[in-house]
Amino acid sequence: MGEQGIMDMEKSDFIFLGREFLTWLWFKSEERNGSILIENIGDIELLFFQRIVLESGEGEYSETVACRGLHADLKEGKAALKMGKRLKEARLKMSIGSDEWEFTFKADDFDFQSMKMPARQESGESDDEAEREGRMLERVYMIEKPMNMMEKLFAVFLKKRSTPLWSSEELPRMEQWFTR
Amino acid sequence: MGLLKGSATFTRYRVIGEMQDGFRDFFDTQIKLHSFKEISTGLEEKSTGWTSSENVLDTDFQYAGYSLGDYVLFCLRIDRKNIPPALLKLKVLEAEKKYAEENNLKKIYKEQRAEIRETVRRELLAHTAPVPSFYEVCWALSESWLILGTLSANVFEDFEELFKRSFNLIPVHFVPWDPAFADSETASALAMLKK
Repeated sequence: MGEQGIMDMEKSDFIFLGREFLTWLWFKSEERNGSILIENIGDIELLFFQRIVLESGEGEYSETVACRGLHADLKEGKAALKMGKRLKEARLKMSIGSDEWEFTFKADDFDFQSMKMPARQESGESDDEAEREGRMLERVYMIEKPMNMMEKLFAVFLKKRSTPLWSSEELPRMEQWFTR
Repeated sequence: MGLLKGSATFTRYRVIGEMQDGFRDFFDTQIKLHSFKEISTGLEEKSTGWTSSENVLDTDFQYAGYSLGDYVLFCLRIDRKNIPPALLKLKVLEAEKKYAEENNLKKIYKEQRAEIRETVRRELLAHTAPVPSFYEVCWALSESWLILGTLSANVFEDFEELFKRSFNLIPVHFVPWDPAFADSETASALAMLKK
């Protein structure tokens, strides 16, 4: 596409992509029992658990359904998908290698809430400046990692979503999954 | 809070604008210039400014304590005075009653009512302690993005305004479908999807 094409587009044109992405991510997560394969990275584990919020429509015409449950497979959520609702937020558990994070992901603004970091072996509250800096840098790195991973997952989604294969293959498989 | 401890809640921004050579020196000057200052007069309702993220009482930023490798870490402090609406309503009623009795009036006109209300509001404001709140900022200088430790729209507004004023750069909320930040592959994909 030409420069003119990019200039004509606004981020508000694509606001629907956040919810479509999170809905697709739920499908991908269940498709291979929580494992998602990312090109050039490998497998990551992603589980939807405890809580999902689905919504249809915008503003005063919106209808929201929230499903909670520690061990539920969030069946009500799939029923809501059948009614045309899409995921607005979800509590996710992400594992990369031996590190595990838990966070609530808000699809409309790509925001992260109440993120629990991987447990680290405490080396004590040392006053040593270099150690303190090292701890802080590691903490920042641990925040960046799942954030970057969600962006990579979005890129995978967007690539699929913008090809004809989306309508001919991915979407029918998704529909089959939530009507099952 | 929670960028440095506990669980973290945050939103991501892109930082738009050109960073001149010697930006770290400029940053050091500007963060000190726009550091948090206590509400000075009784009638001020809000004060915003930067503080250290490790010690929120530190607004001197000595030895560039905000610096962490490529990142700078600091805190936005917002102090706000809130008068509970029910209290304001009650105090206005009392003042109106007193005014009517003292002036032997049966009815108070609209203009007088507004004047009484403003006087009462100012009196209450002068005696109300401000409520402080703190929001961490972690800015990756060379990559031109930052995260802000809140999801509150009111705080976004205060943050964006103070950030622009402090550093002459514009923070823009980041979502990966924003065509303004799209690489060529993403832009082509978005163009296919534009409804």
